[in-house]
Amino acid sequence: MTLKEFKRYVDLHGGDLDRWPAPAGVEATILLDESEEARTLLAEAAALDALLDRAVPRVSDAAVERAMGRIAARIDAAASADASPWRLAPAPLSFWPTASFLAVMGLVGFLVTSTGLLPVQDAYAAGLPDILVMNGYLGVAQ
Amino acid sequence: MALLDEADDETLMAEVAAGDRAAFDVLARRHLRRSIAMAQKVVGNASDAEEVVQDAFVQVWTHADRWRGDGFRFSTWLYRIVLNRAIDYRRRRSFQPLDEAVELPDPSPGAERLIEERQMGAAVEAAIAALPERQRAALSLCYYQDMSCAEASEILQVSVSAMESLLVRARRMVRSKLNTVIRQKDGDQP
Repeated sequence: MTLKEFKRYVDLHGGDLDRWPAPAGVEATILLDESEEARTLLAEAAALDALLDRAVPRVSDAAVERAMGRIAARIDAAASADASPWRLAPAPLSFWPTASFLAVMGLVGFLVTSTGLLPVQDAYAAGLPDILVMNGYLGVAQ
Repeated sequence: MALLDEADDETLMAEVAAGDRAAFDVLARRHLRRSIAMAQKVVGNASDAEEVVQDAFVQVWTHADRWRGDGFRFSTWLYRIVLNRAIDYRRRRSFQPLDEAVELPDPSPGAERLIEERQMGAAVEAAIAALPERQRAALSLCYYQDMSCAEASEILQVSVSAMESLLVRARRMVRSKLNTVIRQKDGDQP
């Protein structure tokens, strides 16, 4: 192993040879016997490792249990919201429930008017055609 | 339940895709601690990491049917979701790690040493927090989670050489930021 290769491994895997890939670790040991510079590089990397070890993330059992509980609660809440019969189409609007609802309402409207359940107003009888509304980009005219 | 405990991740995930909550619970419990630890290094603190991981696991449950494997292990897929969520979260929020390091002075003899230790720890956290997000993720995976560069590269979806380059740059940048601390520490040693 050359000193350049050694430096690359030190930068990658740090100052603990046990964390290096096995063959490289053995070659590094030979180089360390011969090179003062290699020993210095390894010592510097070990010092950095010691500092990095101060920032090892620690996760308590309580944190794990808390997260488990919250995940379960969120999944349960989503499941009960999906199962609510009064929700026609949860966001984002799903197509088929909405389309079915509109089709049924249209059919009911048609049946109600065609069977005469509701009186149909005659617009001409009410004199509404006399009111002409023109709505254009130049303004509104009556 | 005992059978589920013994099942591998991919078998459990197939059960989860079929709507099996018990399988999901086993899978979540198996990976939760490591996921939180991984996210913690990216977002910078424990409570945000918990939130990120909760989102990730809810996503796994909701989109379990999208899990195909495609030659990747479940853990690769999961950690990819966790890391991406952590990176997004971090982008949306600002982070001041040194605020947590404020200490009240204590006159007892060991207190000065303790404060010094905590300040050093906070300096390391700050140096890591100042890294670009992908370098921070590389350090989290390879150094703190002890993954090989090949494993980590699958999670970050980069080549192995790109992964190595991220890791090398991360270590160099942290070292340059902590040079004063390292020299001080060397000076302390007899």
